[in-house]
Amino acid sequence: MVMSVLSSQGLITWISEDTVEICLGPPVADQTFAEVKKFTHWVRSDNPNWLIDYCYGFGVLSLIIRPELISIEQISGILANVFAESTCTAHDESDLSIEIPVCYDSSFGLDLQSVSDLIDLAVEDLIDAHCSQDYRVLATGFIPGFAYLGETDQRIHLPRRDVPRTRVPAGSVAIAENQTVVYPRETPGGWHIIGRMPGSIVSLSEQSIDAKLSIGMSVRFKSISIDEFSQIEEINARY
Amino acid sequence: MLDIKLANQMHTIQDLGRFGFASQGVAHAGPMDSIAACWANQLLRNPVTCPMIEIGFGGFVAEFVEDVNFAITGAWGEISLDGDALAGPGAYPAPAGSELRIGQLDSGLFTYLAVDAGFEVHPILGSVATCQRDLLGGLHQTGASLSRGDTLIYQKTKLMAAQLMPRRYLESYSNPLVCEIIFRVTDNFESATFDQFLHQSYKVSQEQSRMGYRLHGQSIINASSPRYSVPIPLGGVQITPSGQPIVLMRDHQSLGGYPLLGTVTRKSLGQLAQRRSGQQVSFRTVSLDEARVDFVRCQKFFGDFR
Repeated sequence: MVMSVLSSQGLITWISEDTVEICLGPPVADQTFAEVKKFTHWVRSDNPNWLIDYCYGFGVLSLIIRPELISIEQISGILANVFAESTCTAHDESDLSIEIPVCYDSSFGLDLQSVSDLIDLAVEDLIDAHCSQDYRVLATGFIPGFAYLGETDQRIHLPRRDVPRTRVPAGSVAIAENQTVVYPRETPGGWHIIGRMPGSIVSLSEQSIDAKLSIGMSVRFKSISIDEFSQIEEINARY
Repeated sequence: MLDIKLANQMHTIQDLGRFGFASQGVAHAGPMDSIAACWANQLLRNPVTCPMIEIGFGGFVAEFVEDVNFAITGAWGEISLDGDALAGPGAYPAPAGSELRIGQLDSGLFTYLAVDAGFEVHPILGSVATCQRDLLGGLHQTGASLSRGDTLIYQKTKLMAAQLMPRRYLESYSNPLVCEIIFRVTDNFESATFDQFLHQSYKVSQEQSRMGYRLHGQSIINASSPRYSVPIPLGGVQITPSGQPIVLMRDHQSLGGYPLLGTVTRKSLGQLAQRRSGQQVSFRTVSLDEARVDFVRCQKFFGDFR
């Protein structure tokens, strides 16, 4: 049996008994997001019985399948058809642009000063660099609701913290490498915290998990004052 | 009703796992040793998806409040019902009021307890599997492990004669493990690295959790530095910057940046999960075809298998 098949979309490789991996393209290329969109659209409309789950991150798509129902050659054939479609015109959440309010007050931006020192950029300029451009959701994962946004302004690139924090507060907005993230809940983490968003980035019901950010979506941060932050929190608490 | 009298953090409700939400970062969870877990339901002729209890590291006491047949599989040691030692993995009748005790284990880490028709637990995101890092599943849907005073509902049934698990299927978790691995060709390891990995023996380190087991070997494997985080598979063997491997277990995160040497077969993964720190592990390469044949056989035998 063939372990991997080279197709026009990239390399499809069988990596365990029930897992197949597909390289869709460079992590930040428009074409890669177009392929992801075709794939998710196909999953939602066809809901194939041999597909148990899938996960995407930074150009790589991973499928968990039922090996008793399908071979890699069949998967290659099906996916070749899916990706052969010209651009997917259906609208989905990846077409959305959302604005996330962030309070960059030093009481929330625990690492603002240390980052400013490390990259030799004034705190105001650092904040300005962070909230004056659009980002794309490059990957989701790590914990439910966690999204990797990129790419950030070169001036604010820096490695992760040497020592990860054992507790990053929920809603923290952080940077590292060429990306920025929002922590959906309190967790240990190694990114540099520069602010906090009010409210919640993910909600859970019995049947579904509703994350505000999904792959391909366009995101912009909007700087708010600590008073505005409190107001939004208060409104959220009331409704 | 099962009344929990003694439990620890490693005692959790599990089923085959939570599938369909990986793209949002939800771990699959599910039993650490899925073969032993599936056997527990199989012995009672339950559907393979019935909720059961995974009892890690022993130290469990519970009372069966009504008559029911139960099955117990996996790690073994001082296991008794009302003071009488159980002969081995199998299905047993539990009269109302009887007490199951799991003390010290001699072999393995995870014992599985199922009852006729399964425990009645409310699912969240389609599964009862407990995932502490995702705060999902379990008795209260919050990812909490079982604790003293918890009660699990089951249907009272007619008691049957005890039936031991067929001997040919029994596993010993005490001997050194030869773990089957499907090598990965896409992460740019040199062929000498694969040879080096196969020719040395590893010890399970103390860093073992439902997320992953860190192994420790004499010689260090040269790995490229972390790259972009990409989806990582169950059983994946990550090489960390220290040059030592981590094998990804059921609660592993969905994305990871360390290079992967290969994937441990699902059968071997359960056997590895049963090894405690200090035990010896070495690796043998298998073809994907061989691994798939074994896997599909398990799926057919149990009704499903993950």
